[in-house]
Amino acid sequence: MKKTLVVMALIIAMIPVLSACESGDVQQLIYYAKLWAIVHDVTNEEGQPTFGAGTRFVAGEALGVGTTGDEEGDAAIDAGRVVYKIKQAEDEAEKGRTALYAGDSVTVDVLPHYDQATKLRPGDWSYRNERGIAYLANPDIGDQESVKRARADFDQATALAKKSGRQEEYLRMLKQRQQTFERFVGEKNKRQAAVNNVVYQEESRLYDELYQLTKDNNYLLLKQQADTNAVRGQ
Amino acid sequence: MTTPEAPTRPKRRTGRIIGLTILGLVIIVLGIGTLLFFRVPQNMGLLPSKAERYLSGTPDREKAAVLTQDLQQAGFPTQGVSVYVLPFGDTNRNVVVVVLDASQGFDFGKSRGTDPVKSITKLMVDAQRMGIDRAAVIYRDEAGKELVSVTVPTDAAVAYSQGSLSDRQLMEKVELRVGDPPAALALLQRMK
Repeated sequence: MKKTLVVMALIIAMIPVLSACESGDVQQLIYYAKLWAIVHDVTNEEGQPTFGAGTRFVAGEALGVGTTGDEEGDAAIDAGRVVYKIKQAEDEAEKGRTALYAGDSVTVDVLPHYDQATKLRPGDWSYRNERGIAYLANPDIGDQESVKRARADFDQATALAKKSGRQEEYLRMLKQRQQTFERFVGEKNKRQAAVNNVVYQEESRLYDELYQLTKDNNYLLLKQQADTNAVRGQ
Repeated sequence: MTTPEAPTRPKRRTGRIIGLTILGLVIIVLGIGTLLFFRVPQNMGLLPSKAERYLSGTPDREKAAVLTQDLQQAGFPTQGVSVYVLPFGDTNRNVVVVVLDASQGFDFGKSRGTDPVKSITKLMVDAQRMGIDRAAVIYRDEAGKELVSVTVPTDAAVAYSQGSLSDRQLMEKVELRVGDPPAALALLQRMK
């Protein structure tokens, strides 16, 4: 609301500056800014501020109707803080990822970053998927506890994806989990490090779920491979 | 004999108490109104803003990567540019948010002769093809402070690119907010 109010002051203050601007790519931006001010009745065609618009803005804000006119527009125009948090969460998750793939301590170097990422973006299922896989890779807590914690995170990721009520969102979530599993196993293989059996077992469950959902036979083959790897590792 | 003032004392006291109560209530109501007016609870994180309420889902990073590539191919400077594709609440609708962050190296001057508005419009057209319904562009200054944000439905951008909407009609669909007027002014003056 405050921002909508101050836009008046800005546009009015901008008029002499805008008029003085010269050519260049930026001139286009200035042209649109001036046009915006005219069509939204902030200034007249000559660039003079129209104070009636100011009164309407103030009245609108005072009555609590100072919005873009729809919820989506309001959310989009105010998205700055949301994307700032996404960036913070992404930076945290990246630190966790790097440590996980490097084989650093899961308890000390990986989980705190994913915890922070999920705290910053509790509605984002991707960090829960990744943290779930980090739990499976954690030798400090034992297989049973690893699986328990991983499944808790996977269940939460599933619940978040299903909340949308869209099958494609659910599938997108499962595929992100699949990519994370595959990257984790790939990085382990690259370092010739042993992969915990529970990783393959959970991977197998995932492929089964993906097969049930898509009926894509490739997932059956991938499931067989994961099952073989799990047996071979025992 | 009784004094004439004696019976009026409690009345005065009661009147004073009522007056002070009303004054207190008025101050409280005004205080709450001021806090809400300046969105203090939202800014302090006590109440979620509409953005936090509706854009809390998982970003579509693949679509965002494609759109970033499109911008790059159009000659738009992508250093300091972040693109986010976010689901809008529990609906089928999506919003793309483009952040132009001067504190991370974004500079309009590096657009190599490309029209920034055309580049962004093209991004919106591509976004609409991907099922994205609305676009927002946020500009942050060298200190990382949000100066301006604009939003427009992507179908308006498509209509504009096809010539079905004039510049003026497009601007009617655009909503704009300014976060820091003095800094935005300084930016414009530097652009001269």
